[in-house]
Amino acid sequence: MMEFVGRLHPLIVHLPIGILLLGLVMLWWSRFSSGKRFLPVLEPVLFFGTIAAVISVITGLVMANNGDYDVDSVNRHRNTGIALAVLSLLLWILVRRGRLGLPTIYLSLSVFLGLISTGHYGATLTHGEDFLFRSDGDQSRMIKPLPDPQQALVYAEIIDPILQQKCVSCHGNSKQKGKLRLDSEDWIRKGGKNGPVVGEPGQEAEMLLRILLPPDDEEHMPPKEKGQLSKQQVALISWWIRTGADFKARANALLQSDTIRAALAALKTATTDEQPPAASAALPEVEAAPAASVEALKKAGAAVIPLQEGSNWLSVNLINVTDTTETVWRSLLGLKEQVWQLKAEDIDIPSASFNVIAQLKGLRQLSLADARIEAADLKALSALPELHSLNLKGTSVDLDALRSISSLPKLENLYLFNTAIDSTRIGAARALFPKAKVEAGRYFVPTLVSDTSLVK
Amino acid sequence: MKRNEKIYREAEQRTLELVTRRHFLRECRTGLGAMALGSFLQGCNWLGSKKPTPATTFNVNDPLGPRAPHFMAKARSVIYLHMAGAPSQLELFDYKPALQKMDGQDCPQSFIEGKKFAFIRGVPKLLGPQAKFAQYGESGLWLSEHLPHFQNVVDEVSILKAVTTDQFNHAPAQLLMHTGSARLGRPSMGSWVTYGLGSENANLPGFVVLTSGGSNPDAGKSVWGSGFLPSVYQGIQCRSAGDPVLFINDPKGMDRDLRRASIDAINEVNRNSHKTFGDPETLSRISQYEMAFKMQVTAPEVMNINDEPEYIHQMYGTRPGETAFANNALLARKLVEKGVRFVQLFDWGWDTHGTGPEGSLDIGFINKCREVDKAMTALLLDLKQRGLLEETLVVWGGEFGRTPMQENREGKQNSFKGRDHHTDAFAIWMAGAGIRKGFSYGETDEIGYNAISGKVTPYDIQATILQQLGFDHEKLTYEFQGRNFRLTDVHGKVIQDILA
Repeated sequence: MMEFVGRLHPLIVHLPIGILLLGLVMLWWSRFSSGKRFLPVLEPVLFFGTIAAVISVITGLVMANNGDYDVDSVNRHRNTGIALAVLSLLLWILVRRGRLGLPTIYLSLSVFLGLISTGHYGATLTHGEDFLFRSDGDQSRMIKPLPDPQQALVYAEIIDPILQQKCVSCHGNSKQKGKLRLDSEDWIRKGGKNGPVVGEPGQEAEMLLRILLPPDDEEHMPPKEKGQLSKQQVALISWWIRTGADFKARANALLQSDTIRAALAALKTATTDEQPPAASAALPEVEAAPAASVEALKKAGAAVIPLQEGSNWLSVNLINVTDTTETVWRSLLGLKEQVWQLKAEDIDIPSASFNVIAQLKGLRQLSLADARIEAADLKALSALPELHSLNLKGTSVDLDALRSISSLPKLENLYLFNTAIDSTRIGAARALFPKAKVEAGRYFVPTLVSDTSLVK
Repeated sequence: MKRNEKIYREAEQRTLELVTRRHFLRECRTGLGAMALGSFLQGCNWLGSKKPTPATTFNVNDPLGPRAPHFMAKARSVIYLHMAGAPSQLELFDYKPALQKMDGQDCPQSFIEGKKFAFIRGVPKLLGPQAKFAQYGESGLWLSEHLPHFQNVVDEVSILKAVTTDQFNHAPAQLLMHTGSARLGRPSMGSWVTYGLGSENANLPGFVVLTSGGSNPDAGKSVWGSGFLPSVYQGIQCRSAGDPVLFINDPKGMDRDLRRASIDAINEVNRNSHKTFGDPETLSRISQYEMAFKMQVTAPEVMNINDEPEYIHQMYGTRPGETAFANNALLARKLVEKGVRFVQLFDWGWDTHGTGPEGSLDIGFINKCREVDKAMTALLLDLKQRGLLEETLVVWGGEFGRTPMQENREGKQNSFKGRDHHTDAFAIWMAGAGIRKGFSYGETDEIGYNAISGKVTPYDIQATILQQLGFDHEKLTYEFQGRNFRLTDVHGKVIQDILA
């Protein structure tokens, strides 16, 4: 029950702040003629404000007993809080007696100061010392890259910055949750309410257990709603504790697994904080495609789909186009800025149409698999600036045609299965595209005796 | 359309004959009250709420029309190879030399205390791996001798070795794997995907199911059902031998024009019926008639593996004319090549308890491996050479794993070597469409009993599959009975470590 009363403190403190401030503003305003109208309610407002301040003090005194906080900070907050309650009581008595002269105004100013300082010391207890003036990108809270992680002091240069960033706001000087401080070597050795945190040799360390629990476990640290340790940070802390939690050692003096070696190497360039992966890839800007062209293509049987929700980039598949007449290609030309992927598989592609494809300057992926084409027409594609995947499987492509497109600047994947480029010519084809992966297929899966027999 | 009108009039007349004034009074008392109340509440816009627009709306006139994913997708299609009955991870992927040393010893109490198994009772004996293991490929992943072909493509796949589930019976575990719930009634993964993405080929279903192994999976057709999604999104099961779809050819004397005209007439009647009653299932029926008409042309060609060259047949090891996993694997590639969104294969017969030679680890299990090893290897290579592996996600796995202990049904050792159902650790592999190549994720303890790192759940696998298709699994939702549902319910975390 007492604990419950104590925990109401953070809620109740907001009442005296609001009510007393209102009273003060009314009192000051009433010095001017326009503020005279507040006089009738001034006394009750201050009365309620004082009551609220007294209740806050009582709940606060109960809460201070649980001892999660730095004694000095708590004392400061307590003293200003009690002073505030006494001052507001005096103010109420003066106002009740109708004394609205200068002494009352001076008293009201001291109530105001008491309100501000009590509020400030209280907030420092909850949010940490530097809460007000800390920006999210504050250097003091960022983990700085290390020039040579293998030479670094493990505790001072690797572990301590992580603890400072993720732990010390609750386990530090001003707030000491579970009577635990993680802001210096001595405090870490001392441990908290539940005993030592880094453990004796051969004993599972409390800190390790807490950070390795699944995030939805009640005992998990940091608490679910606070900033979490990244995987690398967990790995580094576990490594440090498991190798004996040495406060003086350098990284290269401790036994390292591959994961740790990689995590250490990563400290060289970036912080150990990983960025959450972006949900949608950032695509270059492009204007919306003309609706008429899109409609015409759809009507002809093509699937025309935005690359992602809200994007103007398009993926076009001529899959159900039975009649590849001029209109299809003319409509496609209407989308020359927007087509990212094009599948024109298993259809007739006349020579003139290649000029259309060649103008799709945003085209990244093109599949002409099994399409009926003239090999010489491929030359038109040689200037596609962004093309990185080209599927020519089952077409009449030959070495000459490949030579004509060998200048494609960004080609990464080229598929040549079922073409004239067989095992004797594939070497020549690969030589034409030294930077690309050329896939000729024709894989062979042998038939083993076991494939056609049964074990009995 | 005089003829259509006549049919519709007749249908209307029939309906009206059945509805009398008494019917109205008897049937509609509560309905009228509710309707009045409903329209009052809507009229006042109470609580000022705006009707939430579903995250993914679907077009009732073109429910399978292609749609944009949430973000740029790595995968265009999925081929999910489900080994129904649950293959043993300890004889295929999870190499446990320590278990070999403990072969025949009593299982330590700490593993079985408070646990419930499907069949094991009392204290079972540990059973060492019934296969030789070695490292393969540049990645050096461990594989057993039972997969002599798969050894050559291991550098293409990510093996997840610490998959867990909470269901130890086949049907609920299969439902959990494919619908995100162990109970009936939820839409399957393929239904969610076609609901979200539609299908690029308007002439083929978006979600096709093929089965082999002599039986359907234990969970029945619900594992490819559409649950509360419009039934147009349910998986279309095609027959694996003979005609892929029954009655696909028009009967003698009926030409294509007459077929078209009759379907038009039926659809007209259905559309009018939809106008009257507003049942969305009527729309599903209309689009299914349309799909059936189109499939008369496309299906015989796509579903027929006989036109494939001999080289391909040898590669997969097909058995034309029979029902075989190899045939289905080849068909899966053909379907994906033609723009089918989700192909689901079930191969039955992996339930190796050791109660008979068929279900024993040293006989029946090896034969099952032989049935699938060549075909699944060929499938990966065939997709790769066609440029399809870049955009097709292949998933292979069962519904749970098998115990490190030998099964002792009713306390007596089974007569053959077998393992019971195991939920705490099993293995699946994934390949293609942005999945890391030649990678092993997750570890189990020394005897392969518990997952000790990289533990994942069916929800995580579902979230990862959706992620590769361009979906945020938390945003692909459907409003049903007053709340938004999703495949992964309230769970699921994308397995970032296996993404390239």
